[in-house]
Amino acid sequence: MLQCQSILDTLEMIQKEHLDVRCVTMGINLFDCICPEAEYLCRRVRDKIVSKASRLVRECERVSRKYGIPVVNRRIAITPAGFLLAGHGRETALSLGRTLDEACREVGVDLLGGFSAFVQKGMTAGEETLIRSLPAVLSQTRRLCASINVASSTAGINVDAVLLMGEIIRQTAEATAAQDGFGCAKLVVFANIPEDNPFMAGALCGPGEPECVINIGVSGPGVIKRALERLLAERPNATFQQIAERIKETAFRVTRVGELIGREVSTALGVSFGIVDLSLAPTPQVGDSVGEILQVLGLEKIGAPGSTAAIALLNDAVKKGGLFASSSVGGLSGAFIPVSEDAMLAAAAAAGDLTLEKLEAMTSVCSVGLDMIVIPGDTDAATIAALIADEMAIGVINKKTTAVRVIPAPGKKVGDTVSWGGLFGSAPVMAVRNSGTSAAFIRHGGRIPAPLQSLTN
Amino acid sequence: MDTMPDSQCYIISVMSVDRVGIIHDITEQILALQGNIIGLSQTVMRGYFTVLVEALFPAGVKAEDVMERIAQGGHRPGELQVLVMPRQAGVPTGKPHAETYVLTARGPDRPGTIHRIAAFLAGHDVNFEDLYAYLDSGQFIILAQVTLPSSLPLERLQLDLEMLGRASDMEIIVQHENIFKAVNEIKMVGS
Repeated sequence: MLQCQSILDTLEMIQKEHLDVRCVTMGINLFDCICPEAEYLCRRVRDKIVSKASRLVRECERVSRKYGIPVVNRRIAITPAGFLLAGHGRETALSLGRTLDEACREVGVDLLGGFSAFVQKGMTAGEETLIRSLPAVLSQTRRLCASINVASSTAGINVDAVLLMGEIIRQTAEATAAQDGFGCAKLVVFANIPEDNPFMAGALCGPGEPECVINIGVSGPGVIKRALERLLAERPNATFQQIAERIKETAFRVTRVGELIGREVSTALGVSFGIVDLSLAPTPQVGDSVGEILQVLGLEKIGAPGSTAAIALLNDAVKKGGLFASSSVGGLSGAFIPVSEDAMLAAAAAAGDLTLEKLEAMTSVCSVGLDMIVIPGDTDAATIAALIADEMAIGVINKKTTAVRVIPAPGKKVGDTVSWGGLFGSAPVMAVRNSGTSAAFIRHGGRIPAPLQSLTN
Repeated sequence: MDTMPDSQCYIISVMSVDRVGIIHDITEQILALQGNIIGLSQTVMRGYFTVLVEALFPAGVKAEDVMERIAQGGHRPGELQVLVMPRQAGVPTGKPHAETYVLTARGPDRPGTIHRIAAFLAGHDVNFEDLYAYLDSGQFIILAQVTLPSSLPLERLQLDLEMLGRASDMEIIVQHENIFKAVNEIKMVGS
């Protein structure tokens, strides 16, 4: 028998604490669409996406109604397009980008991820084509997201690819200058990219994934914040063990919601259920912020000493609670700290409390990396590449996923604010200290070798 | 049904002001009549005790005997208000194989709230399986587990209930029970 208080508490979590399913992402394998003829390639891709995903939005809405749980975004992730573009030129890349964008519109999803390439050890001609087409593709499409994996713990860091991405990010910002470089908000550079991540902009359907799969991204910063507020109101002197326990318990509940929705949607669509990604994904809404959790824990200023320890505690406890709740946990699964998408982080950055360096330190213990950070528009490509290299090094050495999604906003300087609205939010332009002084280092090029896989004491 | 050829099955309802020992007093009388309890549901609401018991008695034990005996088991005459009725043949013993939803209604305390919702649900062939209602800080709260006929479109029901609620300042929500199980129980839904 259900307990009355449990019912009311659950309702409270849904209605007031932003408990929702952040995204239902359908992974679609497109290997069988590969074709040397550009027109056929695009037609096959479009037909397969439409046939697999035509009922995705409807089923998500049905399940959302049935359980009274908002499903905020319905998305698609595809086989990394770098594989599809083998033997093709940049014109095909652009046609494919437009085809994917149009297919998204047709099935009613807001974003599609997987305009991607795995180049951690080197790149094929098709993958280079894809990367070099990004400024044009991201400026001429609305719904496409791109991710480039330039490093892994087993391959090291492909610095040639890192250098290229520094250039591409700058060019993409220029190509979307009218929207303050918004194209870069849809482009992530990764180390150790997961093949089943449902969250944008890094979602893709990796080569090890099934033909068609449903992956779920849950959320819950608001739920965890309220749970901690209640704990600390009852026990102001709660220890970190007690705080970790409360986070685990809450992450358990959040994960269970994702598992329930994911299984039901996948069954209804007749496709595999993949994973629940139990990342804490903030939104710009007040009350749905990872930064607010740090404040509840007692940090007067986000970015103050203690911030890295706090985010480490949070990240670890979320994983432990989620792993107990589901045997299908995957993706990124950690606490995200995307500056523009988290109102409190953005405010801390604007106040100068949170710096790029502190964010980098925090990403060594949480998910995912330097995310949605606006930097001055005149930041040079070599500096951006060096920034990427630093973040990749954290991921490669610590055998974790890290990423960089920075937006050099054309014409903007430190202290200016950039606003995109919606889930992308707004953020101040942050300073990149010692900008323009890393070129001689990063231009060595080649590959930073993979780290030791043993003798790790 | 768990009956023996020579037994008589009774449904017994007892109401009283709550105190320690009521269940002891009732079961003592049932045992004295050689009765065997096969189902029991008990609750206390705002100081009042109620229990519903299903028990098998040897053939020849009449409903009046059971009622009189249990009533005499109270601390004073009239303390235990007892009703006894024979179980009717053909009444199903289990819940129907229908999807169970949780209805939650919250709003100001006004006469007729439950009646309005119950009338609406009855009109749509929706059955109450479990129902609680109480006042909390001036707010009237109704929690019910209900079963829906498979022919009833959920979206329509949700929209109509929302409108019904709006007319009386109530927020009425219907959700599948599995969301509450998923969030609150260790065991995985469907495992």
